[in-house]
Amino acid sequence: MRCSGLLETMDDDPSASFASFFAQAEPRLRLALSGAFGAELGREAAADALAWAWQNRERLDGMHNPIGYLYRVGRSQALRDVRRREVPCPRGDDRGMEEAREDPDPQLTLLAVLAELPERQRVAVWMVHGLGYRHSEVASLLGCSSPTVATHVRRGLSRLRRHLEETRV
Amino acid sequence: MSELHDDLIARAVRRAADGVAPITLAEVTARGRIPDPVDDDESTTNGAAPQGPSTGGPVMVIDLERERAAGTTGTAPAPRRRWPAMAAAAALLVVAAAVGWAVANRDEPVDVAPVETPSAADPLERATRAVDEFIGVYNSGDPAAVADWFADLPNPLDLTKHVDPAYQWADDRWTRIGPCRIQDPSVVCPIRREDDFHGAAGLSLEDDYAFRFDDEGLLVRLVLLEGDPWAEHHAFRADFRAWAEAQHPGAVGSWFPPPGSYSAELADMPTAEGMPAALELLDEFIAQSDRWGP
Repeated sequence: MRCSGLLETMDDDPSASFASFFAQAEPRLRLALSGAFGAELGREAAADALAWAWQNRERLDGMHNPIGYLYRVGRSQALRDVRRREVPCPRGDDRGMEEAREDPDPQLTLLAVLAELPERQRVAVWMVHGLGYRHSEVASLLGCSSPTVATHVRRGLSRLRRHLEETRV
Repeated sequence: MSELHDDLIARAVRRAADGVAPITLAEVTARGRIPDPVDDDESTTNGAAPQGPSTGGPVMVIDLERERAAGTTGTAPAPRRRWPAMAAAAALLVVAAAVGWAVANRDEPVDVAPVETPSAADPLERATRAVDEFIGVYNSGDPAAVADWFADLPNPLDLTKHVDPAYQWADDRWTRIGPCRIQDPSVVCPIRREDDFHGAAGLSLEDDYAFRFDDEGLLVRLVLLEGDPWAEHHAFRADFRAWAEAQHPGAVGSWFPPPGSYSAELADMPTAEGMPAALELLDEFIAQSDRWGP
């Protein structure tokens, strides 16, 4: 019932501007948080961030960088989800990552190596190199400058290239 | 080869990203209340936004099964072993959960959204933040990271002479010593520069630097408002060079740039290659000098 009520509100407008904001923010948040936390957790975090935006849409107007803010909201949600998972600490001899790295599909092993990059390097490579976003767009998401994003991309790519060279792909 | 690798990386990312279904507006508006990222966090009783832990490392959960499925659509299916991918996905989940476990047990605050303030929209504040970030990168001593800040220009020397690697070899450190001001289209900030080479003579520099950034946030202009306030520094460099050439003939010439190869500000200063050797002689020079000392 709550759902239909909100949708009716949308149809009546007051929030046509939110729909416009949503169209702009959704792909960026979904893709960036998926790059940071993986497909499932990242998509869920992006949906939570956008829901928070919907529920607090009056606060968005005064924000200088609302999408960057929502990235942080989604990131917080994702970290909470990670924290709530009650899974024991992996054993020291866990070889799962090694197995992923040895997978014969080079794109899958690349993703496993990508997962080992620091979060910001990972998101920067994912968004800029993989998906063609501008440095400035990713900078506003991550709350840093364009040159810092460029540095993250350069270092992340360098590590991935090194992996490819080592595996002679 | 590098281009092939870059292309492979881009395709792997696109393939993975394509597997993340778009979020609909209806899905978002149907969600229950999302707790306020600040109010909800027990660590933020004062309303401040703490800096959360980094997720650096393998926290990313890649759905390898989904990637496999995506990879087989539209292409000839190749025989695949399923168990390694499943094991890998499970292992990645375990690693991610372990990071979460570690986060939960470190008694550190979970990252929360920052409190957005009206001043964040202030162009001066944004420009000041950019300058501070540039200074932080410069002080880290990584010339490649510094170079990333510069836009591609036909004559980059004008831009880069203030951050020549020779300065960084001498552990040049920048400090913003006061508020910046907008002097359109630049932002002007008072900077103190201290390095080991000039510092041995008791010299530092305090002056206004004008930074101009382009739309991408890259530096297109970096100048001293005073022009060349290094008169005393030049005198010190000249005395040092004359002493070094007298005391160590033959060794010193290669420490300095060939005539005409550098800007006037740097022509009398050891190059990045010569700076380490020059620094080793500084104590000897200072000990014998009547004029220079800390």
